[in-house]
Amino acid sequence: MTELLLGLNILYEWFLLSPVLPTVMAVLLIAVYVWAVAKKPLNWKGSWPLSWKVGLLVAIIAFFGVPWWVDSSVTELNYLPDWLLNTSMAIGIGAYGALLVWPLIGIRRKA
Amino acid sequence: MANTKTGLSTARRNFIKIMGASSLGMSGMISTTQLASAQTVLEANVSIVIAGSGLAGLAAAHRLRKQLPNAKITIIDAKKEHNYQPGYTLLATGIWHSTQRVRDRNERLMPPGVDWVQEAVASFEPELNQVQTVSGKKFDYDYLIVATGLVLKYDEIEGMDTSIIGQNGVGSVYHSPDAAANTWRAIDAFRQKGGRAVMTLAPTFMKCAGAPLKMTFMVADWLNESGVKNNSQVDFFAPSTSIFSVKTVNDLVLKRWEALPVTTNVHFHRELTGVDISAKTAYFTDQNGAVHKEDYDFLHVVPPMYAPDAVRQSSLVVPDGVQKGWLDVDKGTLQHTRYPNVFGLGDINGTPRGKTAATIKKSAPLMVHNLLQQMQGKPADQIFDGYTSCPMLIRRGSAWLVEFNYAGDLTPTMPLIDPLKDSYLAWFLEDELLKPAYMAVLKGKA
Repeated sequence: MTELLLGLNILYEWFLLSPVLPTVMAVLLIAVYVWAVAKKPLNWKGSWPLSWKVGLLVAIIAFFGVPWWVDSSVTELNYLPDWLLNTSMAIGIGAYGALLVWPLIGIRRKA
Repeated sequence: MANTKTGLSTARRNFIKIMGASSLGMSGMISTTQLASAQTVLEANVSIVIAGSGLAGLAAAHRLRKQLPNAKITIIDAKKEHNYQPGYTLLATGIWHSTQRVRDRNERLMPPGVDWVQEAVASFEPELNQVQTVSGKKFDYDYLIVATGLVLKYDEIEGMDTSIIGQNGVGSVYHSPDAAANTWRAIDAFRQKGGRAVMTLAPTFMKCAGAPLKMTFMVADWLNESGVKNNSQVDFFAPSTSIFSVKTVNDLVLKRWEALPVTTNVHFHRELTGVDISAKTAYFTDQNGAVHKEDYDFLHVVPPMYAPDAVRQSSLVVPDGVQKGWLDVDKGTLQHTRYPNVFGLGDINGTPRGKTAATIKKSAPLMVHNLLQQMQGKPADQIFDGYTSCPMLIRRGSAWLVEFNYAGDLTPTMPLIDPLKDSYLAWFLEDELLKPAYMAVLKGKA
């Protein structure tokens, strides 16, 4: 429990230190959904297969891009904790990408 | 007069002890409750002086503010800028590019309801329970926390001038954010042509004792990356027979240096005692007093480090032995060995290891707990194991997450982590997450 609280506090402090990117990402996501819902009907189910493929592509880019962003590279992934960290971050970013494009693809496919 | 005051103060502390011990819980004097987080909250009207507003002082102040809502807490420190010092190595090795990443204002970081006296401490009078500032103001206390940090004595190196850091091939990661950034400028210029890098170590206890090793790894890495490894060499000069106090780390670093693409040599019993900046020559003194001249193209200076004069000249320090001149605290409880109402936190402590920011994570809550125990007349019952950490930069993109205790045992806190394995995760933590963790510790949340 203590370690979980510590982790949450670290994430909160990370947000305070670098608020722009997570804020922009959150606002963008909310704006897309608000806009898309206003444009209903949306083809949520039909748009999901393409959305997750986009998410997968984003995750692959993130898998290589995040290490580069922090002055490292995928060649420095040396053992399990390294792979777990980078893979989980790539999955998280990929999931965000999929969620972001889902309603947009749904609008295009509503007809 | 002084005796009367001391007597009153002692009586006051004894009264607090009695009230706490008898658990009377009288409103306005003392009562004890438990938070969900198991932090004790006392409603004691005590006066606490904290000397120092670095990470240690502020972490203690934030915790005390929450756990002693009625206490008068005074922080004494002239420093207005707060620096995230663990970031200096990232600045000095070209990983971080702006000093703004390590600069903050103490004004912004002070807990609410704490008095901040913006002056340096001139003297400690623990017999009188009193601290005096440079302007002559006197502050009485019931409890004192010494968290002054340490001082860098560049002036003990003959010919050294801190204003020259970044020029003429001179670097030093410790001095300030600007010095760290200027050190990178010196390394950046040096790596264009290569040559001889001379790296040093202080003859005293040091804060972040891994920093000179990180600098050495990273200088060698930049020489290698810049394609000048064949006409370059790195020479590391250590005043004793080791380069790091934890033997497993010491041995592994030496082994890794032998295998670096850039020739890296280690010279023991060599203390940096002088430098001729214009001639690019460093002077080292060996154990017999003989002086050795070494030419360099890049010099990394690590100055001797001591307790501030106000502490050194007081009766608070260890009188002799290895820890002479540092705050005389019990290494387990962090309580002063002779003045039970005095506690120490951070770099100032005369403890075997742990002059790092990571030490504060575990020692600040423990010390505050023990102080509250003392306040209630109970024994200081939490024992610090000396936990500290040194994220060792190995090369650009990889690091070790070395955590250890007083005994020199490796004590990894994260599952699956091998502290001596080259790791992207350790690098990521150093680059992205240690500063948020530092801020959480500072605010008493971790």
